[in-house]
Amino acid sequence: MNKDYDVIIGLEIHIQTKTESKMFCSCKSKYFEQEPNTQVCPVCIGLPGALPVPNKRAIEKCILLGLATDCTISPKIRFDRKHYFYPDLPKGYQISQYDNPICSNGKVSIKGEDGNPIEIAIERIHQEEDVAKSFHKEEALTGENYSLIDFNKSGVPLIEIVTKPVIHSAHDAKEYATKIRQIARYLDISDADMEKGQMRCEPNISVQKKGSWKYENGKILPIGDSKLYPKVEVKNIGSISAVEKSIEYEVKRLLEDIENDKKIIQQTRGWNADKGITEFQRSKETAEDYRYFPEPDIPVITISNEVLENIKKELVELPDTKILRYTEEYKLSSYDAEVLTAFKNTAIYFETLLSLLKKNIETTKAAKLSANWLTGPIFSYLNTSGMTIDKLNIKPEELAELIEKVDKQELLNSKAKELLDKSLKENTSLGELLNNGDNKVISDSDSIKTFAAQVLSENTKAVEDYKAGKGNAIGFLVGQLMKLAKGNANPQIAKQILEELINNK
Amino acid sequence: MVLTKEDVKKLASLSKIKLTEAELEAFTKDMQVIMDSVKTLDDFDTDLKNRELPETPFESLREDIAKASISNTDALANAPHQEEGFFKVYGGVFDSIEA
Repeated sequence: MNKDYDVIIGLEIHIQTKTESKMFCSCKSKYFEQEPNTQVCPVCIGLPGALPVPNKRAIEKCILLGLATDCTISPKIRFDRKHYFYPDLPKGYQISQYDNPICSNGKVSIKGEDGNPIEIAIERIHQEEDVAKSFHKEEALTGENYSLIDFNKSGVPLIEIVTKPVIHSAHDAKEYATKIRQIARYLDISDADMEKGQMRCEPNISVQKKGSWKYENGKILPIGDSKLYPKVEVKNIGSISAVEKSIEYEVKRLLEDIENDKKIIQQTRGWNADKGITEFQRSKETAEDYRYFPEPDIPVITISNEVLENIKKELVELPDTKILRYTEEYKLSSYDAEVLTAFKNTAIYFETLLSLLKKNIETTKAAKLSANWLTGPIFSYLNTSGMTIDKLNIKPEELAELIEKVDKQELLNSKAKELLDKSLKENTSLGELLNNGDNKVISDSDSIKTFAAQVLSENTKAVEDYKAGKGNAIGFLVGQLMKLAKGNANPQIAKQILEELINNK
Repeated sequence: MVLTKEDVKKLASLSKIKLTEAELEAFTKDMQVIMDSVKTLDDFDTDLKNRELPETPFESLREDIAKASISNTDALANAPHQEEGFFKVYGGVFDSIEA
């Protein structure tokens, strides 16, 4: 990174709203892996005269995202037509919003590279519709180019979230995209799976000489008569990690061009994930080129306070608030709090487990135990198997029973881990494993003495070694005793009794 | 507004149309006639702030219920070209847009 230059990034994120029907017609919105052009109607294929009818739920979810990101919600919603010419857009325009978005001036907090929080200002969140999917082909005989168009995706509700140009590193852009995805998932606005195209990130990137620019009212302005470098927009980013990689690449490219005195032009580039580079697509169009005007087919939609209050009821506790509560109320480390809240279902699992344990164990201790068992054996299993916690075969009730038994010293920690492992790997019921009678910890000295006598008579060599001063021989003997006791003997008592028996011989 | 050849070139490029020099000359003249005729609209106040747009309450919007779509055959009924259930469109005009 060249220290004479600042990196300035604004991020546009598109998220497909999870709804039953499309934005302006009643066709099904779940188009993934459907036969082409089977979920279409005159509205979403853009036949002349077809009238759009807005989807209430889609707008609710857009407002919900605005509320979750501290936006101001416009009391009046107006749609606009954005014109451009492309076969995936049969009407010749996309119904979108121009100068009056549903939500504006919001913010989210992210963790900067140094661990400190950074506030990312959101310029606007607006509602629009997705376009059709096109496949570009070539005639085998003539070599002529053609495209195949599938309109199943056309008209699926799409939310666009635009930041102010306030992001200054690839890392922060990635963190911000991750945060938006997390909020969308927590509120069930979208599954936001980038690989399925349910979430798309388009960074606007420029590099500017230090001291040549200032940030004012959401805009980057030149200081004095200095001239600013134009920005580059990057498209085709298919994963969160590609957000970071593509920006890093683009910044490097821009700085090299400046160093080599190449002219920097405003353009749109595509991220090529295979090659790890961005490629020129087109010179960027400006707002005027889109000939925005108010959509005459949709009246202005008025939002009453009552409607807003109803939507507010859908707000759930978001990760930032949860992390604060987990660290303050439950005294968990911020690391534990972060990993437990990364996914909504994990947080739900943790909170259910904790509420069960809290009945018999003091809250902060119960929280720490829950966190340890979850972030330890459960997460490591989920990570290696690629499973999500909602598919886990172990119910919170079963895990709570296991943790309680260990806490009451009815079950050895090592045995508990063994049972958990068995239940996870063999998909057997942990509840049944816990209650099959072979797990109760053996602490009474009479039973242990019986095992010990047998171990000593069968392992005379180890006994001699121990007597000869090889201290670690006792570990071997404890291990042998554990085997006989099916892993249930209290190891401290076993060691004590073995030592006594040897020394008293 | 007086239209220049540069304006028409820009329009052509946005419309993905290639014009020869002669066509550009001719279309600039034609477009000027159109522009002059459309000028009549300048007398009309188009500022949205000065207009009352029709309104509808949020509650009256369509509920999110999916209904049956038209068949693939009906969807493609008027398509001049089709292939395996897709609409088929020709032209290199898309080259410049997507890689």
